[in-house]
Amino acid sequence: MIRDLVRKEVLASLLSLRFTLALLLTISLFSISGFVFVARYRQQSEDYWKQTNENLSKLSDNTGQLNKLAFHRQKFWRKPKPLTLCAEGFERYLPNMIHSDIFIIRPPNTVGRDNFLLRRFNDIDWVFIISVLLSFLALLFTYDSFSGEKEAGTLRLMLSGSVPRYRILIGKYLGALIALAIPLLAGVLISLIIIATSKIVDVGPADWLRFIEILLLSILYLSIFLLLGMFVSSRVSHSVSSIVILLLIWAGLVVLVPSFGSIVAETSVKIPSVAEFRNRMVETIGQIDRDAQAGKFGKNAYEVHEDRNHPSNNPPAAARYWNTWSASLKKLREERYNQMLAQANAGRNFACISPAMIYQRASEAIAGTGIQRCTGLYKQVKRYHENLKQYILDKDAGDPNSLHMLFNCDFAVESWGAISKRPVDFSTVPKFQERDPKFSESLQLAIWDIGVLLLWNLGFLAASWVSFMKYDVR
Amino acid sequence: MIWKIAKKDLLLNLMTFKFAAGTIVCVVLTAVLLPGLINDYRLRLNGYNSNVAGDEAELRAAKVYNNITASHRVYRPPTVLSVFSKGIENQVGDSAKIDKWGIPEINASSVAVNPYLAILRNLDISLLYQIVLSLLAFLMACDAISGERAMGTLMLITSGTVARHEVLLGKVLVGLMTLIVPLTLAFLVVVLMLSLSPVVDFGVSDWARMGLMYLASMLFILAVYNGGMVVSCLTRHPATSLMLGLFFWIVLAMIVPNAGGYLAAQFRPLEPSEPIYAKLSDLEREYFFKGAEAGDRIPPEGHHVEHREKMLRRYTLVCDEKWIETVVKRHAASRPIEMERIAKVWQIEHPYIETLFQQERLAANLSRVSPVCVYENLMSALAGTDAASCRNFVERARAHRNEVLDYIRDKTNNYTLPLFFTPCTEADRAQYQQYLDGKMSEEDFQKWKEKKIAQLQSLDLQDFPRFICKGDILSDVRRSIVDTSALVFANVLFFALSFAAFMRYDVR
Repeated sequence: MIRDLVRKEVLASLLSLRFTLALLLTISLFSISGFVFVARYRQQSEDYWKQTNENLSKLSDNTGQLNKLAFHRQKFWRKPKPLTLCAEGFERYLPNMIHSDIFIIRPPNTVGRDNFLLRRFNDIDWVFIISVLLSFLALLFTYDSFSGEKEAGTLRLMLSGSVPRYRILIGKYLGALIALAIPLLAGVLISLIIIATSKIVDVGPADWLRFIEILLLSILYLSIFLLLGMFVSSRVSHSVSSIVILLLIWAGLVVLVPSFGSIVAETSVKIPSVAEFRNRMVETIGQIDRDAQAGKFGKNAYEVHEDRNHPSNNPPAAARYWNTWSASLKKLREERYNQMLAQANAGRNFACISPAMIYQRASEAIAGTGIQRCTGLYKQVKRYHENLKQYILDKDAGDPNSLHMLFNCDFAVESWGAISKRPVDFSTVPKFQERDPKFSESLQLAIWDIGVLLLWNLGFLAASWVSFMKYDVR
Repeated sequence: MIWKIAKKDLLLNLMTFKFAAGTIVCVVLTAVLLPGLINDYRLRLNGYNSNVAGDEAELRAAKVYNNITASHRVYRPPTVLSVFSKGIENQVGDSAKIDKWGIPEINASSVAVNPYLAILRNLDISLLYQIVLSLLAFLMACDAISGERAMGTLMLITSGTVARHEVLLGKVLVGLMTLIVPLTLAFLVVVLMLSLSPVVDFGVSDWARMGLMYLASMLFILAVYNGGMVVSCLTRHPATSLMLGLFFWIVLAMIVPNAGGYLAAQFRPLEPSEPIYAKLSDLEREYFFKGAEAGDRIPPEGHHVEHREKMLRRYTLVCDEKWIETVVKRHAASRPIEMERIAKVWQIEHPYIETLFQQERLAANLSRVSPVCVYENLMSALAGTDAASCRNFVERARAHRNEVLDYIRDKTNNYTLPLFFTPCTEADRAQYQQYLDGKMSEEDFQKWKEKKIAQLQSLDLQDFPRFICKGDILSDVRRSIVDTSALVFANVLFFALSFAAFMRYDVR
């Protein structure tokens, strides 16, 4: 019986205008998304490899002397990923380059082809198409599931037979799900065919697995709106009332609540203004300078004469002074960086009242894109610098002429030979490579969000069930 | 007859669930969102006031004219009407440095402002109207004709002596009259809450802008309603009109606004900014060495004592005549190199910024297909938060820079007077000469120096040109003429289409 009901629902949907329009719109958008993605990916890959090779080339130029390597500032770029086709995660606006050395990591910068004069827009990726368009279509598919049949008189006829109400509910749900899944799968397939045949986008086996996972997550997300549609339909007698309520709920959940996150972010977490941050930096440096003058780091910590044997020079004191200076600035910058992330995440956490935002976040976690990726990249750069610093110290330990003192004053380090000036083999120098999170790590990040989406589904299913059991079908 | 049709439909519409739900949601959401938006404005206003006060304090503390060019900045005030439309206010830098080393240019918000907030969309009142009121307008219009046909009343109306165009005009009039209610209520809530807020201070220009925004919102809602009428006149069943109407709505309200920027970035891609900044950085380095070379050709003569009050406030405390001559000559030698560098920086930076504006204009033109985007452009132009308003600020900053440099040149006789770089007077120079000649002990000189520092007077800057940045309502209105015309055109076009469709409509 359920199979018959499902077949009836699917056939009815396939022959309807809404299905035709949904199919056309979905296929168009997925196709445009695929083609634009391929063109953009090509450009991003060219830019990325050019910049990375430049970085490596400059790194290689500085291996002639170990002390030069210590002070060389590298640039680390975010690598383009095929999975941004699914969830771009606003990466276009997020910082994509970290410029740093082993002493201080500068705040990540946004550098590239982005136009700050353009009003911020969503990338037309899978997440946008599914979270906005397909969720809207899900409501259009089910807003009249019960109220429409009640108006037509067919619900009464169906229930006057021996069809239990729960079977009708499940049949309608599965029928709508299959009907909605057809344009979704068609669109996704077209999108994947475009990138697979492009020969530009290199998709690995792990990436295919993630595509499938995001597809399953999308179905879970769309199911929420199907059940919401059915729930509201089972609460009202007229389809018009049902569609009005559903559209307003949709506007709130998908558009307004996620946008409200920006206000919550700015009011709940305060970060110091530019002037306050600069003043704090100036005060901190000023205090360190005063401590140096007072002899806290040792005599003549400030002094740097070119001749190592000059009586005013005190390398251990200078090393303590400069290391304190670097550590303090590093701490201030990290604090500010953490505050900025906390502010953005506070807004996002609030916006996760909306299933659309939960879906966005979970997709980004699975795809390894978005703000999580930015923080991951920053941590990887930090770890890399620790490794590079250890490498330099290890190489320096083998030079008996060196003072074995590494601190953030290149003039002093070079003049005094505080670090070895021997050349190093470029092939042994640690090189940075962005590591993608493992599949299990991504899944771990997304598991809570997947659970919440499941709860939404169960909640609306239970609500529809209870509501339909009491629905007056006359 | 038109009025009778309108009155009948108006009473019907006011009693419908969709009208009640739409109005309540619109008004309640406005009341809920507004405190957050006002608070955001308050925070930005406090930041602006604090920055301006800080800059004023720096100016008052300046001891020499060179200090002014080291620390003077001007700031773009936040506009209270950004609660209606935030535009790109948060994306663009809100300050400009006024110094002799560079011409102010529009730039992105500093990295110190949180770039990670980009994951959250900006919320403002116009977004609420774009979504909720436009949905309501579409829902009301979609069954205006096809719904009446399904009920059988359309056949009755047209079987009399009522002309079809009168029916249509009556429907349009009723749409306007119905939708004005939630729009006016929502606007009243905004005006009331803003007026009651202690941080908001409306001027005449702000009231005028709000009035224009109200008219623009009316035009927008009417355009959406007329669009829905076209769909209704093309279909026979209300369910079909609803479906088609909602599809059009989702495309025009959600897809096209995002597609405009998306496609503009593909059709007119930008050059990467990194090589531009690398070129600028190389130029800075090249001219730094050129400037140093030019300075080195004039060997330093004389003696001086530097004093640093703060990082950006340092000057020659006391010096002798020969040092003054050296500094003046060095400055005169480096000035042409500086001017050359400024011109070259401008030649690299300005064309790049122009390509950003070109891409922005293309995105705006591409998205003018949708009345939602046209409305958004209009609101942000009237609020003074669009790209053109940000550009105006930068142009005023440039004009202010020219005024400041002319002022300093005038006060220092083209940078030749000592007061450009030292507060040292003739008496001070005489005292210093005594110390140099060994007629004053080190201890006495240090005491004299400390006394001098304590007694130093700041510059008298009463006639210093002040930076005033007020929105020019006339130029904002002139700029919004294109979008206003687009909305009027959309209204006329949709009405013409629904007219043509309704003339042939089978009312049976």
